[in-house]
Amino acid sequence: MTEQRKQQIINDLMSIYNAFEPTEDEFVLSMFVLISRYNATGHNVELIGGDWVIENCPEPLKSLPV
Amino acid sequence: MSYSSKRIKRDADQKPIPQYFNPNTDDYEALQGKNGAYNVNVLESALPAGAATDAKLDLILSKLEDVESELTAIKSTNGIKKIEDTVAVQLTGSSLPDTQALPVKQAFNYELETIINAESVPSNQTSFKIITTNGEAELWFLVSIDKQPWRLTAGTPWFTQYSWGPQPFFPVRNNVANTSTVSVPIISLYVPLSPSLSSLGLTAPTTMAEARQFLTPPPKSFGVGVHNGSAETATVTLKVLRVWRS
Repeated sequence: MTEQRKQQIINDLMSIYNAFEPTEDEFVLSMFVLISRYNATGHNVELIGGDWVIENCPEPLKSLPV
Repeated sequence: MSYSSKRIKRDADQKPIPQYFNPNTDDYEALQGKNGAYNVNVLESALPAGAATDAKLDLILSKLEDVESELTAIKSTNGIKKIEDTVAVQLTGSSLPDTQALPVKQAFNYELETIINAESVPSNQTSFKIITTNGEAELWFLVSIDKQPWRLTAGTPWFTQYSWGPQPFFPVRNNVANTSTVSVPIISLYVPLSPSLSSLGLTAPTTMAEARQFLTPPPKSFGVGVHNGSAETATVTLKVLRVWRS
């Protein structure tokens, strides 16, 4: 994965992070919710998951609850 | 008169005897004794501090009489202690019949571990992991998945690969049509004997209590997997709650 692509993924994830609003089912933004919403965009061609976020993303993404 | 004007007392041989001068009788008197010693009058003023006196003895006797009165008051006529006021009582021991086992408190310890962390699982594929155990009494698996249908599978003591099937769980999670979140996961107990598989010859449990009767220690190592049966990529989190009893 290129640095450019990695940064693009991080930007996408940060957008999800910033847009998150608690719901009755998901009252906190967990790693599961982050990846689930990223998968829903159809952009996750690399099939990244929570472990990739922990290894490659800055705060606050890398410290989301699992 | 004074002692100097009186004659001292003498014995049969006219020798002076042990004597003292008594001013009340104005004469010498022989000293009396008992048990090989003189009779002695002790002046209270000459007593050491704390020595017994008539006054102190009277006080002690008075206290003893008070104690005697109190004991008499709290005893019935046959000497058994009477308890008439409300008394706080703590029972000890057991009221169980001799034939019944004493209840034993069990200490629990547990640990929640994430073994699949928000993995993206393509359509009709399985995310799986190898579980190693360390004396756990129970293993509970918590599934979070955003697509359906799905199934939870695991190995058994005699076939440890995850692909063995969904039967080593209660409830069995096979072709589940519900999704779940990490806040509200779907939970199953790992039952290594897989009693839900009728071909094993066991009676399939219908309640958690029945399922627990089939519980055996888990294998030291076995596979567990979550299969995504949907047409889309699923997000999967799988946690294991390890429970130890002592």
